[in-house]
Amino acid sequence: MKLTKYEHACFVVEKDNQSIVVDPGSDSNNLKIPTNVTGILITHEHSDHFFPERIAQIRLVNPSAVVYGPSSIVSLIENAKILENNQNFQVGNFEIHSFVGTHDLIHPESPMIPNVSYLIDTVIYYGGDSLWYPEDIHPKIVAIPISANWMRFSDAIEMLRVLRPQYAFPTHDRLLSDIGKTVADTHMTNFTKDYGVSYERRGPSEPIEING
Amino acid sequence: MDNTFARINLAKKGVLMRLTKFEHSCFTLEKEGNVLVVDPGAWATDFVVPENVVSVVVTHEHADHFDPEKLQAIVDKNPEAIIYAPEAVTSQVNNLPTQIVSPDEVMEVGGFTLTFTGGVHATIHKDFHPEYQNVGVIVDDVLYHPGDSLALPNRPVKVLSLPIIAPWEKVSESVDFLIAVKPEFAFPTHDAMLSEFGFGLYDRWHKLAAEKYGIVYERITDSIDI
Repeated sequence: MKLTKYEHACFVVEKDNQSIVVDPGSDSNNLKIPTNVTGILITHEHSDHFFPERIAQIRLVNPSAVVYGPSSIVSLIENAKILENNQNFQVGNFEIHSFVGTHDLIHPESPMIPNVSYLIDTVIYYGGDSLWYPEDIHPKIVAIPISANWMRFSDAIEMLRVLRPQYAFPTHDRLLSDIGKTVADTHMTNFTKDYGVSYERRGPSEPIEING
Repeated sequence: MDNTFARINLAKKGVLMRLTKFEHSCFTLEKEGNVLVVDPGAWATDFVVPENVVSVVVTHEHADHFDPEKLQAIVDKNPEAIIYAPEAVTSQVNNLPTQIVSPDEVMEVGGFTLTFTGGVHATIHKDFHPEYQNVGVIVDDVLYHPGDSLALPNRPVKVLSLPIIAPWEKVSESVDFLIAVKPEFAFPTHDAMLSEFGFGLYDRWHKLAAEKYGIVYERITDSIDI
């Protein structure tokens, strides 16, 4: 299995010549669209995660790609499947588990919206814009959001301390400057290494190879 | 930028201070020819050492607020300038003219009245982050700069230097701090971690909240009069 990270919240997982695309939002302009996409996983309706134009581009070369996500995106796009909480489903050769919750609190005065977290092949966990995580899973890899209006660094550190994956890579960082990324990466590396987590920033040219 | 608001206020009060903003947490205040420099740290890459500096306030020891080279350059050009800072900073620059300050202390320097607040740096992580000293500073009971903390000034202030992004806060916290202080005017600071794209979003979120509470929130790109 191969995981390739693109700008902001987007990544692609490929296995057995099949790919799934996760959160291809408006800020992921460097996404190299694969031609073997079977499914597109969306965590929530915000444009930095869900961008109908980008989905249309993906479907142009992958007409049968199915979009999965929370109920809030169904009215905004064709051929989308609504996910239930704790649902197991197949996307091609991938086995996906969905956890349906809410987007984390931006401010008590902002409206709450649904958010789906995903466990892919029991190996990769990605929670979208939510600080909640299932405590009974043991993912090898976690996509960890490091900068958002609904979180602090300590929230990301806590998530990794409990989930204790072997690898973690930063996501949701489009708002950060180079200085910001360096500060975030330094804190994340230093504060999680004692928990056996190897935290590493990866660009599209350095995909993560996952065995087993 | 529309500075009408700030100018009107100034005229009313009859006191004139010119605020010049540099990158990240750094700014200067000029009044009757005397200049106060606040947090000239390493990330204020556009900082130009002013003349007529009477004092420098360094809120805490982190490099984005405390840059010994910049302090040396300020003192070289302004030998009379005194650096006000917590002990953790002054002890690292023994060769420079410093004065240790603590919360609730009041200093008079070159026509500025400086009142210090707070005491500790906000926590980045409860288990990993040591406790750092940090002072906020209220200048002339008009402007408040909290350093790396959300310590309240405990008095009304007209102008707030608002740290909008930091490892130790989320937007709901900087928004609640803004609402609690409730200045007439707030400008963003501590934002070198943001990309250009990030500036846009963070400014939009804080502006939305500010407007709701009758606060003017504006990014300062050069100087304004307050």
